Amino acid sequence: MKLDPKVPSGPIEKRWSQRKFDMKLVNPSNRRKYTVIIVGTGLAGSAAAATLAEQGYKVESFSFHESPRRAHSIAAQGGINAAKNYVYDGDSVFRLFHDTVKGGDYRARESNVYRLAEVSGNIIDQCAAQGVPFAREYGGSLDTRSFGGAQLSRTFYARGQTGQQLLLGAYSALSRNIRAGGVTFHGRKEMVDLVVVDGRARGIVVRDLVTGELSTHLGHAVILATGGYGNVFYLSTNALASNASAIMKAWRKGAYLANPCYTQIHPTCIPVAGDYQSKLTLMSESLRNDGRIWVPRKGGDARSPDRIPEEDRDYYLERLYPSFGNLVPRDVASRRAKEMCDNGFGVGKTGRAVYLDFAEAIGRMGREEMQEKYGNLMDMYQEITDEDPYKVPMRIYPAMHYTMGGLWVDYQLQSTIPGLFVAGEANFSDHGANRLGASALMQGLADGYFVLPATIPDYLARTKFESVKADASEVTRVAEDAKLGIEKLMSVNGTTPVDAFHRRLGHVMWEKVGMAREKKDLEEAIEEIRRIRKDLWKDLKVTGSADDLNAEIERAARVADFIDLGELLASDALHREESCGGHFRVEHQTAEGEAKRDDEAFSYAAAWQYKGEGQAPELHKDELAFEYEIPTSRNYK
Amino acid sequence: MALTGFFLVSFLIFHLTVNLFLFEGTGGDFSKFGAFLGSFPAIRPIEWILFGGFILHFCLGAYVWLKNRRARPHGYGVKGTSKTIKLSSRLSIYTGLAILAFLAWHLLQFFVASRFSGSTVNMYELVAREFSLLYVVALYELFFVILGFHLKHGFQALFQSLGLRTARYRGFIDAVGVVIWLLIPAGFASIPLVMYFGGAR
Amino acid sequence: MDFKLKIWRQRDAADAGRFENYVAKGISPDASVLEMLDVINRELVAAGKDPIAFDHDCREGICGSCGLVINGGVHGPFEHNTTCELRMRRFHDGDTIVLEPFRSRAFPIIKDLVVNRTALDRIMQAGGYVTVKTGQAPEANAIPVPKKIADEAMDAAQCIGCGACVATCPNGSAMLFVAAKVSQLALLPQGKAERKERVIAMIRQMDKEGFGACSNTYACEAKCPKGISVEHIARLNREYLRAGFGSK
Ligand SMILES: Cc1cc2nc3c(=O)[nH]c(=O)nc-3n(C[C@H](O)[C@H](O)[C@H](O)COP(=O)(O)OP(=O)(O)OC[C@H]3O[C@@H](n4cnc5c(N)ncnc54)[C@H](O)[C@@H]3O)c2cc1C
Ligand code: HEM
Ligand code: FES
Repeated sequence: MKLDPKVPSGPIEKRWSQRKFDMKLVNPSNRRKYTVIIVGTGLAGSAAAATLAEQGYKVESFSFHESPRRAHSIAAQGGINAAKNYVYDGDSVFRLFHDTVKGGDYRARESNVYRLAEVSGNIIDQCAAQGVPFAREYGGSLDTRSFGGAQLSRTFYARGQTGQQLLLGAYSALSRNIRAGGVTFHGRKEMVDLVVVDGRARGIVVRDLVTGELSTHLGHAVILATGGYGNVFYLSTNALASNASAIMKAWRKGAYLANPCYTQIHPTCIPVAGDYQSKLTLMSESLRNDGRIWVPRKGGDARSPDRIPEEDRDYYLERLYPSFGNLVPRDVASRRAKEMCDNGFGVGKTGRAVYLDFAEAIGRMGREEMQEKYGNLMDMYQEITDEDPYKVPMRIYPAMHYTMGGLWVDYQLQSTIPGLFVAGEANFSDHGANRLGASALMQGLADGYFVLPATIPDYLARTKFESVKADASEVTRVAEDAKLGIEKLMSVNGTTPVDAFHRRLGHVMWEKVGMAREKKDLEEAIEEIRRIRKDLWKDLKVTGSADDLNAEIERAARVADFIDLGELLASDALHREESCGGHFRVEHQTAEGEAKRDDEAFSYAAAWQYKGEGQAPELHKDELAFEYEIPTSRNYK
Repeated sequence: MALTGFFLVSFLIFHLTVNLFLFEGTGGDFSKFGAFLGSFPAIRPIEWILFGGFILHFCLGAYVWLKNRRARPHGYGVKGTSKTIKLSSRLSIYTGLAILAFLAWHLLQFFVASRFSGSTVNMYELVAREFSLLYVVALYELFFVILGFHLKHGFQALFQSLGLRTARYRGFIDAVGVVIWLLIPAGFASIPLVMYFGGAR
Repeated sequence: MDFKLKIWRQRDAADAGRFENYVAKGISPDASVLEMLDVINRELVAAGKDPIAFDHDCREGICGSCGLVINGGVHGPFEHNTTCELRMRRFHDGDTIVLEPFRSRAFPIIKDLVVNRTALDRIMQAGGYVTVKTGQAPEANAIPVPKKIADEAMDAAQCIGCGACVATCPNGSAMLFVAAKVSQLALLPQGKAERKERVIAMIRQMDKEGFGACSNTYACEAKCPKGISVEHIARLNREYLRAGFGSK
């Protein structure tokens, strides 16, 4: 099948309005007859559910969380970008578009990115109207800050809890529509498969996590807004339950998965301290505005950091990148930290950390101001590590954070299965090979509030739906398969708990498919992942029963999907013989160790099609055309 | 709760003011007040309102307490969740019940005696007689400690319930609160003590 | 570090439930309470037993999923943290640690340490929102909000909805939870149009769910992981009275 991204033509700034005008509409009195199934209640899912219900469609919303408000969007700290140009520092829709395409290392679709920048301002309006308590200036207007190395102040924020406040805004809209009857919410229900009838997505099968019961829900369109797959690395900044099962089920049903190898590693996280550790905690990027990153000049220098004099310290980012210094983009900062540690300059007990030092900043602005600015982060660090960052430098290390890849979607956010739409971090759309700080929240809300509510009605209006019976064999078979899948997991009856397999997978992913990837490593990784899969089906042990709340079963099913995704991710990384954004191939770098893109050969999104168990997936290329941006190499020297 | 509580606090202040006239000694303004109040035409309705206030306050308190107990049908294995709560707040229902018990006795002692005995009693002498007994004085003192406790919780709670205990007024309310919960009971408490030790003048 | 554990086990809502004893050995002082439970669960699974069910997700104190009563203290014996943030170094080697679920009539137990907190969602559905449809919003800067007001609203809006206030309140009351939302929206100009209906509807739903009434003990403030002040309850009371007496 040839991929059709359905991108509009014409001047880029007119494309979205032209497309909206071209869309077919559904008569308000007919809307109640359509059911839209939405999986996920993060920013993307909640926003879409609320808006579609307001338009009059019947919405069925699902989450494995008990409450919609617990979705992982809640954890985003830093902020949300919007091209409002409130501080008059030269921002514009076009500049946000430009920055996003460039930041994504020219691996995103121009039309999508432009639309994202175009609606960014409306998002802020919408959220402010919902009562999101954004930070304000004394005069009462919205405050912004510059974030993640951007040269403009376009990031809106609500203290260190922007994601929480935006999600609670979307949750309040969702709650209002639940009350009004437009949305039915199903909590603690995990989607375990997709129902496809006559080639169209017509429903889902869900497992009730409390009773273990499987049920089928049918509708006219399905939206997946199920978040990212960072937990394929075992340790990441994602919440523990975040998983890739929904998109993997859709993949097996025919939706292509694009660019899985585009993963983002965040440079400032609290390092791994031991085996007990279940997750990695992000220390906001803003810390790099005032902290200086260094390692001792001498490898293995065992002196405590305050005993190491200036001349024995290597402020390597400042040395390598004199103009950006500590503020180089995430991928660069992460890779350099890894390199330092690989070369034996790492600090701390494990030698896998670098210092982030605030001594100078404290000297400059005093402890008080430091506290005012970063107090909660400093406290959090101390609580976790038992060290006082006002006195000793923080130890930080990169960690898996965000996934740019996801299900392939066209301009309408529709996957290769008609009627299956994908939004938020779960799709691959807007960030190319690297996401800019504060742009994920923007994208989730853009998809949910503004894009899907325009494209879903168009799909509904254009499609002639056959009625689907719940007892049709095409439908019942899906639930039966799901049941068998669970029984299969329960019946392996081996000796090893699922956690061990997840750890093993994470270890391979991090060591061989992590920050710096090499052909040999990737090939080994694929072998190793296959071994893990084999072992899992031979030796998995799940206790408890399948008909009550049982985290072990949930986890086993998710890890099985992570294994398949891990292999796909490694294959994608292997195939992409270039370095771009979050994907760094050791073989493809400049003499100074910078990423080297190959636009001739790889200016496309790699969309992988599932071909059956044990079969190699097939690659489809979604070629990228750059009409407005001229791909250049990123330079932060 | 808050409104009836406020009403009762007002009553307490009034009651204390009147009682302090006891210090003037026999035949002083205290008895005059008593006589005045006794003959005041509106006194009956006021009494009823006062009783009503007590009963309403009690009923509301009991209702809320019962309802709240139902909201937590299963307690914790380790008791400790209330550690962060001030003792006065935790005990308000019990101090309240103690007040109720005391009230019954107190009314029997003075109110019933004066109102229903048929003859006109000299209030001052009645009080002086009662407060010459050690156990009466001791019980009264104990009671005033309990009353103080009840007010320590109640006074600030009243403003919280009325939505007035905001950042701006919190300090002020708590300061006035100290005067109320410490000085009112102390004022009352001084009476039996002085009368017992000072003897009736 | 080593600990003796007493953990509440209950198969499902109908089961009576009981404490069971466990030992945790060689726990890192930097591990959180939940990470200690992970270790125990791994051992239980390896031994073929049903692992202990507990709610959690973000493990950094923001999603509001976790919540245990630890040695009689909601989210542990200390102040202003969530269960997932509580590290074992705060305890002593060899301590006995008792883990129980949140208790309230409105929070029925699902299994072991997991409770159903959907009552809080239903309170939000009753009125915890501003009615503004997508597309109806005016330009964000058209309605200025003084910094002081925005900051105060944010103080309230920080609520993570964990239900610790309910679990610690001797009355099982959800007043702090309701107050946080009512206060946030009453402070902001965007929320003013519906303030009357909102407060009445939310309080009514709270009562319907079987939560107790506030008797001003302030237990909630002391244990709220985000330190949300009972001043917001005062504002809730004021809003309620104002709504009741009809003036606007
Ligand atoms: C620590 C951290 C900090 C961040 N900070 C920022 C920031 O400052 N700025 C920024 O722009 N971005 C930030 N991000 C990224 C951003 O938060 C996420 O990309 C974004 O919130 C994802 O939203 P979402 O709606 O796509 O998915 P999520 O919020 O992850 O929601 C997923 C939903 O899907 C449901 N779900 C998943 N699978 C299933 C299934 N099988 N069945 C049923 N339900 C399912 C879940 O229950 C949940 O409701 C941060 C991310 C992290 C981890
Ligand atoms: C009849 C005996 C009494 C009983 C049984 C009683 C009981 C109670 C109870 C159970 C409370 C509830 C605590 C709360 O909701 O905060 C309460 C509160 C209160 N009580 Fe009493 N009480 C009695 C007498 C008094 C007296 C004599 C006074 C005043 C002098 C008083 C003043 C208050 C106040 C001000 C409150 C706080 C109301 C609020 O919460 O807003 N009470 N009482
Ligand atoms: S697990 Fe999210 S708050 Fe504790």
